Amino acid sequence: MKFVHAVAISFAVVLSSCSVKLIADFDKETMDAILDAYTSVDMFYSALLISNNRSYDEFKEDYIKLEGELSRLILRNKIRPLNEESTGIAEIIRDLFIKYRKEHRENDNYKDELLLLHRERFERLFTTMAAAESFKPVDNDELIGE
Amino acid sequence: MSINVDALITAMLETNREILTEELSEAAPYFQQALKDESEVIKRMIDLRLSGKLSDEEFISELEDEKKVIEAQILMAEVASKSAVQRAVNSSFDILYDTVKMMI
Repeated sequence: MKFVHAVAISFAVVLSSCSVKLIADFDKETMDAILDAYTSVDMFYSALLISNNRSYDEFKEDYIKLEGELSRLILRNKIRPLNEESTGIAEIIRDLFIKYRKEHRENDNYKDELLLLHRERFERLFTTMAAAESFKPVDNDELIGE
Repeated sequence: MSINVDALITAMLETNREILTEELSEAAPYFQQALKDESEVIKRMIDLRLSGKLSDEEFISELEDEKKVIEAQILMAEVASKSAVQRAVNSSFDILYDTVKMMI
C-alpha cells in the first residue's frame, strides 16, 4: 500500500509540473506595437491620398521610417519562442510594404485605385495580426504578478 | 482509494470538447468576416480591371498580394487552433492531477 501511495505522490508531482506549451502567451506590448505600426502605416497612406504631389522623393523619408518600424515588429515577434505564425504575418506585412515602395519608386506616382486597395489590404493584415495576438493564451502567473 | 478510469477519461474528453468548442467559436466570427471582406475586395478588383482602371499586370500583381493576405489569415487560424488545443490538453491534465491528488 505504501508503494502505491509513493507512486501516486510521484505521479501527482510529475503531473503538477506538466503543462503543454504550443504557442507563445499573449503579450500586451506586442499588441500595442501592432496598433502603433498600423496607425503609422494608415496615416502614411492618408497623407499619400490627400497629397497633390505623389512623387517618390516626397515620401522617401517616411518609407524609411516605416520600414524600420515594421522590421522592429518582426524582430519583436521573432525573439519570442513558439511565435512563428505571428512572425510570418509581420514578414508578410513588411514584404508587401517594400513591394509597394519599389513600385512607387519605379513609377514615381501612386494611382488612387492602388492606394485605396493597398491601404485597405494593410488594414486587413494588421487586423489579422492583432487577432492572432488576441487568440494567444493569457499567462495567469503574469496577471497575478501585476 | 482507486481511480474510476472510465469516469476520468469521460471527464477529460468532455473538458476537451467544451474548451475546443468555446475557443473555436470565439474565433469563428473573425473568419467569417475575413472571408466576406476577401470576396468584396476581389469583386472590386475585377470591376477595376473591367473598367480599365487597373492594367492586366496590376490586376495580376494585386491578386498575388491577396494570396498573401489569405496566407496571413491561415497563420492566424493556426494560432487560434494551437491556443485551443493547448488549453484543452492542459485542462485535461488538471483533471487527472486533481483525481490523483484526491487519492494521496
